[in-house]
Amino acid sequence: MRSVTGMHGRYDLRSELSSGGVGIIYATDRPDIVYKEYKDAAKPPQRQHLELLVSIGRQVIVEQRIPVGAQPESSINWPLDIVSGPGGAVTGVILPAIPRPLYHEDHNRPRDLQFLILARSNPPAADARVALLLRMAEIFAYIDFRKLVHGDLSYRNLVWTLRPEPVMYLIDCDGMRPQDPPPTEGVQSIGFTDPRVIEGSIPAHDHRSDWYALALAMYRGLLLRPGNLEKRDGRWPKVSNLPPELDARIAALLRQALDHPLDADARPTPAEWVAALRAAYLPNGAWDRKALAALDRVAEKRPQPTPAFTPLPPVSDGRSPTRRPTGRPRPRPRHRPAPPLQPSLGPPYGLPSSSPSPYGPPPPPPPLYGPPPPPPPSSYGLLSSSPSPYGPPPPPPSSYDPPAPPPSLYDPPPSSLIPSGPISLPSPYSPPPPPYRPPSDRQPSALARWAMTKGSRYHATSWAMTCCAWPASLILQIIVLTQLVRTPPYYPRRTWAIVAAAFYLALSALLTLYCGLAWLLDSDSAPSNTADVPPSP
Amino acid sequence: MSESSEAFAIFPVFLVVDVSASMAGGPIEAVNQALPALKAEMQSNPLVGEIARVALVTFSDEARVQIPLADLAYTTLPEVLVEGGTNFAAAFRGLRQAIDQGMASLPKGTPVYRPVAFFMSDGEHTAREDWSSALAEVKDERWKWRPEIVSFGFGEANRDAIRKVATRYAFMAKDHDPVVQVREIMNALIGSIRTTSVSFRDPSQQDGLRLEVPAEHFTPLPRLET
Repeated sequence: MRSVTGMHGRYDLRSELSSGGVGIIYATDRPDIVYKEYKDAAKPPQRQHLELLVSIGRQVIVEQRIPVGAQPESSINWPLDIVSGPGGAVTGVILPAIPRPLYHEDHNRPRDLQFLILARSNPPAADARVALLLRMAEIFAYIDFRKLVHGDLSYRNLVWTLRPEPVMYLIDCDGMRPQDPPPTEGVQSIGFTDPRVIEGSIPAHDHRSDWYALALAMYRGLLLRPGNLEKRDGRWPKVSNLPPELDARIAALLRQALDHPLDADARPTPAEWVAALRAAYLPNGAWDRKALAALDRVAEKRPQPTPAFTPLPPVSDGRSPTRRPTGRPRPRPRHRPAPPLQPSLGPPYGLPSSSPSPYGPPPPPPPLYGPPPPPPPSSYGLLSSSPSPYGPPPPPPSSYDPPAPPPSLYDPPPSSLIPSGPISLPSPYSPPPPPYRPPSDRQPSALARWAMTKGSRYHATSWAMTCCAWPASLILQIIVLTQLVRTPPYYPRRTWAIVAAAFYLALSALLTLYCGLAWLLDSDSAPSNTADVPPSP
Repeated sequence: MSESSEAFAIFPVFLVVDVSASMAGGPIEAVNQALPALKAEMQSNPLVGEIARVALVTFSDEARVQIPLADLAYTTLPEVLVEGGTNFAAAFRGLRQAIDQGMASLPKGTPVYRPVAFFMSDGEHTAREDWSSALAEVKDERWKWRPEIVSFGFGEANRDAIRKVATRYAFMAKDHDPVVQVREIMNALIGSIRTTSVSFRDPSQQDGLRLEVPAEHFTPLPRLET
């Protein structure tokens, strides 16, 4: 068992928990802390920056023991110790473990920002989203107050819960550094990259990059839009068509931050977001239910992402003769067509606004930078000598359980998507999808499959039988036609096979009828002819 | 600009899986176990689900589109069954058809990246017909949806054939147990889909396709000099 020694203690390492681009996370002998070992020993954060973060973190978490999420400063995953290698270089840091309540109840991973701002992830209702976005703004207001840069606000680096109360928690914080001098290197998460970095006007994210990412998260989280505002066709898109129901103060901040993506000075500060969110949705310390209901309605107006797909039958037409593999087992072929497919429907967007919030209004936001309250007994206190406060995760709150699969109804995909991005589908490639009809479980019978897939063989056999053995052809084609009619209509060449079978059936019937009549006439006239024949002498 | 134009570009993925007789038993079970894992990845990682669309084409003597290009998080998964021989030509015809139909099924105007096909086989082409022309049609540079093909060989796969199939990247699984090989290949596929989807870069570009193919399980095959 390996152990590492930091400035504040010795830690026995346990199993590897995860591996990311920068480091590997190990469990330790203490369930409330983990060890992050940097993969590239040449590029850990600077020691002086880490020492600053550790000093703040130990003050907040170890000395004051502020519970996770109770204050902005305790909503940050501060590093708590620095581990150095033999030469004194930083090799890793000790971090608080992410508390279990911040894990997703269905997936064994932290419940990150994806589950709050992506419409398809079934995010909670507007009041819960606003509560958590407000917490996020408060966290970044604190970071700004401390004159720090996080530099990597992304879908992954904020985790949250609503039970027992709304908590937003910023992770991946060991790379935080002072605002001055501006960073010259750092990581960027795709989808949240500062346009100034993309344009090359700054080398790495600075504190105003945090503000840009914060505005993007607000835009996506409040309206549940995809919010891909990256440069395309040589231009930076603007935020437009903001719904009139959206509070004017919020709309103004969104435009201010996102309509001029290269103008960093225009970006609203986190404190401005805090003030605007409070004024719009939490006036006088109570939820403005009318404004929240309007936000729910706006989010629900978003067209559902319904990528269309078409049930397909087997694609081979049987033209290719195959040689069986020699020396291989040849089990009985179990051909069956592609199974029935379900229509692709997105989940509903948010909970109905008419239903009361299952979470209740969050407590009025504490003063931004006031003194922390005394630690309550039920805390996620870290580095305490008490037994681990992290029990198994609580039962999932039923209010934001994923909904049952949508009913098997098909909504045609939205037709309003504007061509953009790397490749746009030209109109010849984009016929409107056919109306969806749920495929039947019924598989075509052997003769029907033969008629649909073995074109030339079927026709040759049918012609030969029609010409030489029409009564047998009559029976055969009746069976084929019956099986074809019972075949689900989405199989290819089914219609042609029905037409062909009907043709051969009609031809065989005509021949049979003609020959039968001829035989009958012949047999009717035979006695009279014989009667006319004079008896031979 | 409407909000729908703010959608992220779709990353179309086509899995082309050998279901010939030699896949019977553990290997095909490993494939059938990996499909729910891929679906779970789409559900537990909504951003990947938002961006990746996945199709499944199986091939033996014939090719079958088991899953047309779809949002896998909301798709009912089939049970893949073993069949007979190994016909690469049918595989590539099926792949081309699946791509054409899959791309056409996307809503008009959807921004999309170039498709990526992950091809996996454990044997040699055993059909009489030549498969080069079918492969050439899939790699035809005039075809708008010409995919990036990443090939994985395992079991008794012919290394040269696996190299020939790939456009840039070909791998042979190292493990001795075919079940482990299939499992590792499917893990590599899931990881590659995850990382490429959230890279937000064109997979056909040099740094766009991000493969999660651990060296302890796979041997990269050198590119064929053409």
